[in-house]
Amino acid sequence: MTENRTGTVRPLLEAERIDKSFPGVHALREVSMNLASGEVHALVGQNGAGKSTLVKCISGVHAPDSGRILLEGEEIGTYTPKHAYDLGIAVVHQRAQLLPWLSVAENVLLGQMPARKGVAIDRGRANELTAALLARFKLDIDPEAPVARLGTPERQQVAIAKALFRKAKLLILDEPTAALDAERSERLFALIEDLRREGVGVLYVSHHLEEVFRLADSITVLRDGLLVATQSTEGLDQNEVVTLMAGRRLEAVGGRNDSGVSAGNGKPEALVLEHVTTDVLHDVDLTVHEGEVVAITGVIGAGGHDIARILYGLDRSYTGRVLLGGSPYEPNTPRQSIKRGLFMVPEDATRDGLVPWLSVAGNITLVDLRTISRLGLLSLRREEAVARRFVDRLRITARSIATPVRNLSGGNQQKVLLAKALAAEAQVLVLEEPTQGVDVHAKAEIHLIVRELAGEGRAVLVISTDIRDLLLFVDRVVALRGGRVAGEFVARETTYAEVLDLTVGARGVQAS
Amino acid sequence: MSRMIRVVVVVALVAAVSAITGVSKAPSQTKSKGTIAFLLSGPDLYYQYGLKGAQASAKKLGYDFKVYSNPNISPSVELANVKNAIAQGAKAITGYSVGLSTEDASINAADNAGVPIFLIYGYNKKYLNKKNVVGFMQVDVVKYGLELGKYVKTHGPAGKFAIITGQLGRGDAEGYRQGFLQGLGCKGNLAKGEPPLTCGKFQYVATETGHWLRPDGYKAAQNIIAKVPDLKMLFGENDDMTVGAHTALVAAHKDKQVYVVSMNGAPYGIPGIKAGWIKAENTDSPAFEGLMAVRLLDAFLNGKIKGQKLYLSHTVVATKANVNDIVPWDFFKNPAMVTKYMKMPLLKPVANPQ
Amino acid sequence: MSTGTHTETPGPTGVRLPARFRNVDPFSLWPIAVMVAIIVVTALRSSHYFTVFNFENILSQVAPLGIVTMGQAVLLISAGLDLSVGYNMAFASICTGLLIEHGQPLWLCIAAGVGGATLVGFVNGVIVAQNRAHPFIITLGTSILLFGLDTQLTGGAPVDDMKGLYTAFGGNLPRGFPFFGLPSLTIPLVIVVLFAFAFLRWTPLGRRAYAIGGNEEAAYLSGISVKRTKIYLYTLMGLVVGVAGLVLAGQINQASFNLAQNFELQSIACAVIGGTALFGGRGGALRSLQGVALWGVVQNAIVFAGLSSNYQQMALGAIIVVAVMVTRAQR
Repeated sequence: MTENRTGTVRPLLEAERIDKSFPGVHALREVSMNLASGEVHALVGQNGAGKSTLVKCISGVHAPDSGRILLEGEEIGTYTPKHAYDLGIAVVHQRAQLLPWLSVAENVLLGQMPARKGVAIDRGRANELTAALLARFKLDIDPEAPVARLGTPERQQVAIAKALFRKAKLLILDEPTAALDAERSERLFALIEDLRREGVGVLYVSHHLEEVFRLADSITVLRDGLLVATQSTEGLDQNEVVTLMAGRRLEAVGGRNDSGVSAGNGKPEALVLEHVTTDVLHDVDLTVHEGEVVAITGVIGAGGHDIARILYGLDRSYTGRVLLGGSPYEPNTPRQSIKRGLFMVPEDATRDGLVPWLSVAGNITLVDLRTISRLGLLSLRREEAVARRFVDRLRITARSIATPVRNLSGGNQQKVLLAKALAAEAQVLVLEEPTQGVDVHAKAEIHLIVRELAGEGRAVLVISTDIRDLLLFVDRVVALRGGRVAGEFVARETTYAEVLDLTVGARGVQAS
Repeated sequence: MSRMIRVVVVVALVAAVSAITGVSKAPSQTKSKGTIAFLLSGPDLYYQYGLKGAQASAKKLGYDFKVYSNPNISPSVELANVKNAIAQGAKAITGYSVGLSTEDASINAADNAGVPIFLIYGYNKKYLNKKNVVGFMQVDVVKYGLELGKYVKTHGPAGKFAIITGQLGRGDAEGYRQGFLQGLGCKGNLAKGEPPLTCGKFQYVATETGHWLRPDGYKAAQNIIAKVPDLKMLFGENDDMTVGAHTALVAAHKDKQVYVVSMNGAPYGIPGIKAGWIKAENTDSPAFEGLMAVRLLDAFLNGKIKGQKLYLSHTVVATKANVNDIVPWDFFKNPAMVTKYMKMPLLKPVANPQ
Repeated sequence: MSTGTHTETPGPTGVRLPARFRNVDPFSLWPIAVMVAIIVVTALRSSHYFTVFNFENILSQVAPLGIVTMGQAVLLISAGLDLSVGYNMAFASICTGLLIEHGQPLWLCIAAGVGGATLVGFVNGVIVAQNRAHPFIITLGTSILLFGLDTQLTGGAPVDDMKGLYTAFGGNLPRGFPFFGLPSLTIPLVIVVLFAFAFLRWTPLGRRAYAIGGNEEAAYLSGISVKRTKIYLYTLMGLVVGVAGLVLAGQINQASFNLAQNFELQSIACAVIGGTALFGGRGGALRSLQGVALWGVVQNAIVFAGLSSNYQQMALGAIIVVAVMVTRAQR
């Protein structure tokens, strides 16, 4: 904390009555909050509550319509990202903004590259500096590696390193664990502890309330642009926060049906994997019955994503057998998978799952245009009817069915993807990270929807790294480690810790 | 195994390519006087006819004839062509250069290698002192336009007229226009050639460029006739554009109203003269130019004439009356005509070229 | 905050427009506004400008370009493009013209020309579908190949009399035929425009074009056969190009390699002016037609202003820059 002339200690960051509107949306209504050096302050709220707008004001992307922001007692003045950066405010976004064709060192030191005699770039020194920085925070990445070759978690770590290089005073983290598995999340938490000790202020934006309660000293809750609460986390409990976020009590999330699930629910086998082996996977056996929701979890790279790709015809280089509905299943393209009745919802909805400028109805009906065709031509009326059916069923909120899908919130976009699965009349669904980046309430809704879909006789395979979330709504959990099935649990009979252990692997089942 | 196959395929390809090039390099059976290299600069019809004329001439005189093509009208390709021609032992070089700046390098290359060169178009006095420059042949662009202008002055209708020019910037389009306006009796800055100008009973009111191309000539005429519905006369600087312009005039139902004159004497323009919708045009056969170029080179190689001269192409103002007397562009299709033009006396050089 | 699923909130004027029109951004109609402004100014300054004759002129000048632009717009929507348009149009005209010269029946000549161009489109499509390289490079290669082919086929000598084709499109049909005295070129133009409009709005293939252009990965994962769709789209483009080539050849009464130079860039420019994005996923047939209309009006207005054709080039360049800026601002 900095001391001003009168000797009282001022907070690191003060936001005073920040007000910001966009055409049609009053995003922030006179929001005020403070953050001290060495404090971890959580920012929570539903999608659309104003979190990202507040972050953008603090980081200089937007200028508030009224109100002011002070850093160490001085008003920020100009609202540009560069200015904020110069002042010591660093942001790590949910999707790391890096330059993929440059190396790790070049990204971390962007704009700060050491130069020999002020002219030629000194790569050696740059690599040294980066390596030192990465080591200090126990981040295991090669400074010379091109960023394009790194996976999402590594990229995020590079983004964090980049923020730290500048000796940021205030570090803003936006959904940092969204793309991280349990092991890397733990490392991040340790990093945050280090930063706190060094006096860096951390603004932590997240949907994961358990993390919030574990890390944060204080919390600010926003709802519809209004500040609902800003206080210490001591004495606060999760349910209270959820209520504050929603403005009403939340129904019990999850709601699995009680039709006695154990390994095998007596229904026919919908999907069977036998001895499936690739470069990554080793002898994987898996069965999903009709009406069952089975989750595959593990650290990133453990093989869940690879299984999804195999099931959807994106990877044919495996040995072993896959049966769908009892018959051999060897698709070459997603199109063939869909014809057989299997649909996959990809991990990154905006990047891979939706056509951004196409309407909600257009996206949903894309999977089978024949259903809305009459005499070979599309019937817009039929399209609307079909889409409306799914929109109602899944409770998708959009201004209208003709809205381009890019205007929807993350949760609604996920629902549109589920609607596609229904439109494809899939009997087997493969869902990759279905609740990633989605707020608490939408998560609950998705849990409910998945259970309903399973209840109608479908088999659902969920691939996710969010163990806590999985345990709320699936029947069985299969833990993968290093491409092998490390263990299988009935969801209601196991704990987060138990599953986590197997995926990370201190103790654990030997490969069978 | 697949590696073996790859090796075999490559070897076979190399063998095939060598065989083909080897065959073409094999000396011809009949005794030839050497090879004449022809620089072809662009796919346009005009140059193709020039080539054909030169080829017919070379054949008659007993030379081999090799074409060096430059379809994209690229200066670097032209220089490469000249050097290749020299390297492959050309006896002499003729044809067209791409432009005034390119020909400098080309002429120097030929001159330094001791290979006689005769270019069609591109005349510049400074080259006439080079030992191996046999000469240049071209029309005097201003005179070319002037002759037509004089005809129109006597025979054309009073009233508004327009000019569709070729691609400006090379000198010829400007020259034709200047000569035409001069012949017509216009006063003012004729070199600039822009409307409005008063020329006695004629009024110059509009001009558009057709880039020497038929579709653009069509569009130019459309625009002109829209702006000047009472147009009385139209001058198109080449037949391609004029034919296009005429088609546009027909579509506008104004073809009977406009007195059309042109330049070239191309195989698609001559029918216009015969049918009467081109009233007159100054003609110049590129085939004749090509034929004459080779004849002059031959004469030079045999010591019969001196080099370093400028020659003016043979031009005739054609009308319905004398249309059969002009040198057609495609005479090389008719052996009798080839013989006729081979027997014509050689062109005389210009006495004091400027 | 979140109410029902289909809340239809009224627009800023408080008037509820039917859903189909609400998604059209009024701002994207700027070409029409500019056109009207230019027409008014030029009409006041020049006589003979505001005549039926002149506007028919403009129409016949842009008709072939309009046809091609429709095809190009469809391709752009699918995040593709075709640079081989100019020499492919010439190719179509040459195939037809050579057969006409040899006295073949007209329907056969036309079929050959359109068929040839369609085949070129098909080849483009196959290579683009298979290859990761950008269609820019691939169709550029096709363009160069066609240039050589065109010059080889005609030996530099254009076909001079397109007989039946000229009769149809040369503007010699009696006035008042077949509708409202407009030049006969208008018919193929209208047909192609209507077809493009219907195609994009009501056919599964058109919908797939939007999907592939908007997000090819998402389209693939939705079960769309991306390769096959691309082949169809480029083949269709070839067909459109063939039609445009024959219309132009009939109008000018010539078949030669330089019949339609630069048509590829012009058609892309017109589509962009009309609001079709270069990166795919957005655009429409009627909107792209705006671009063509603006193009025609600008060129004609410059002629009437007495400026040299260099100004035409500059003006068109300026319009393209403005159009791209507007498209980006709309994102």
